[in-house]
Amino acid sequence: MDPGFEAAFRHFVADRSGALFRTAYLLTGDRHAAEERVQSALVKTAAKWRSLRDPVAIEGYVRRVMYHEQVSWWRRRSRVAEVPTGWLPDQIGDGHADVVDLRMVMRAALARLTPRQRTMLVLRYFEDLSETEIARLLGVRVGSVRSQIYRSLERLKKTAPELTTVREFG
Amino acid sequence: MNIENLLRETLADMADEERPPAPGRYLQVRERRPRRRGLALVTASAVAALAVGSTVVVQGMSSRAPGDVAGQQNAVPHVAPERRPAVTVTVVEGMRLSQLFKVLSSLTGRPVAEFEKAAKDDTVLGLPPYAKGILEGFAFPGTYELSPTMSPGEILRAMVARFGQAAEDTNLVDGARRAGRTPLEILTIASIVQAEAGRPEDMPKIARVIYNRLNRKMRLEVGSTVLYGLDKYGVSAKREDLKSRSPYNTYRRFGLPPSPIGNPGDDAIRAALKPASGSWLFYVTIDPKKGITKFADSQSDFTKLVEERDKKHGTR
Repeated sequence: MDPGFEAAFRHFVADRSGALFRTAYLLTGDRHAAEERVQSALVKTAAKWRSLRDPVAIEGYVRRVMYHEQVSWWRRRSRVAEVPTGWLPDQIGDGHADVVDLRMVMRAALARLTPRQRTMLVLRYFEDLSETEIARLLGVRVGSVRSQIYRSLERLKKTAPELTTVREFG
Repeated sequence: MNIENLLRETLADMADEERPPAPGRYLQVRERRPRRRGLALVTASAVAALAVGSTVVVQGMSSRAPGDVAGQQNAVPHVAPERRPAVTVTVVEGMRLSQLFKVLSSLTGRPVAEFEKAAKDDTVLGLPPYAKGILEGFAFPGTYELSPTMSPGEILRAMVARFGQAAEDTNLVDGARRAGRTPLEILTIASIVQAEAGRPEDMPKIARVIYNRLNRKMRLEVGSTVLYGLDKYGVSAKREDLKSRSPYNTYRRFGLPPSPIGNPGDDAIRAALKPASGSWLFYVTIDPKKGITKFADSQSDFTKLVEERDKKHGTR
């Protein structure tokens, strides 16, 4: 076996697993699911290691696997599995909140997006990727990314009206 | 502040609230006590990366029952025996038996000694006669499914059987005869090529270097054989390692080491059978991370390559 592989792989994991975990946590909202995502993506990457010599390519690959798994895992899930969120009221909160509460409202609203919408928002607003980059990563058209993000923001506002009353706080 | 900024802040908050697990978590065997004789379920996840010795082994379980992860409050959901996926083990190219036995031990819950014992039992393994009873080199790389009822001997026999297939595919016995070597020598060369090559495309050139040095009665001076003899791992042998009296110390002894130093894959076997043509006698791994290796014909060119490497990585 390639003698550089093990050292390089360890180095990569030591260096990047924290950042990968953070993104995975935002995608899943759950610590254990996040670890699973990272683990599974790393395993797939290890198998492809030979063709991914460049560290940037390696991280890109791991992330691509992670995003795809997040999006497609949910797609595979039956509608039934989404029921638990179904008995939440349509609206979270009563339309009034101070700025600290707003973040809690935002979190609750995020939890109610579809995984695809949530993934796109994380990529756009946490990873600061452009719509073009997101489209390339997820293998969809740019227009689709744009409209999904727009719709997600609208949906956030709809589930949490407080968010639309956000004023300028300085 | 608009909704986009609020979203940014919320996500940044959330990202910091869970401390990432230590990197080692992704590299270790997550061991669980076997509920039934035979198998230890390593993790409930579909796949797990295991690090054993210095080799990362990718281990997968065929399929995950849907909903295992969906029950997010349950990190490790109970897996009913009938739904329990088969455990597979992957022999990575170049893996040593000592590493493989550790992996197998953790997957099956059997002690390493049982695998060591089975490895010596020629009646079980089905080794070809030219192996001279040596298993190292004959546990062919690949993924193997382990069933709970398999004995250590049966597991190893499956690996030897796959080697037999690879030997046919690569035409090992005839090729060795044409090269004027025994099949065991070819496999020994292939195992060194496997250990030394950073990239598959370098394999035929590295094989060429080995042949050129053997033909000129030069010592091989290959670090990976020295490390094997000492049961150590690493990219290069240390100065004190080179003093070792083991038969695998190719800095002291002439010729090939007595047996393979790992289990080569078919690329390495093909390279050993069909080396590139060239007059190289040296090579230097300039960049171990990228697997860049450069070749030299003369001591002076070799020295230049060493300087190039040291300039890149500081003095070693």
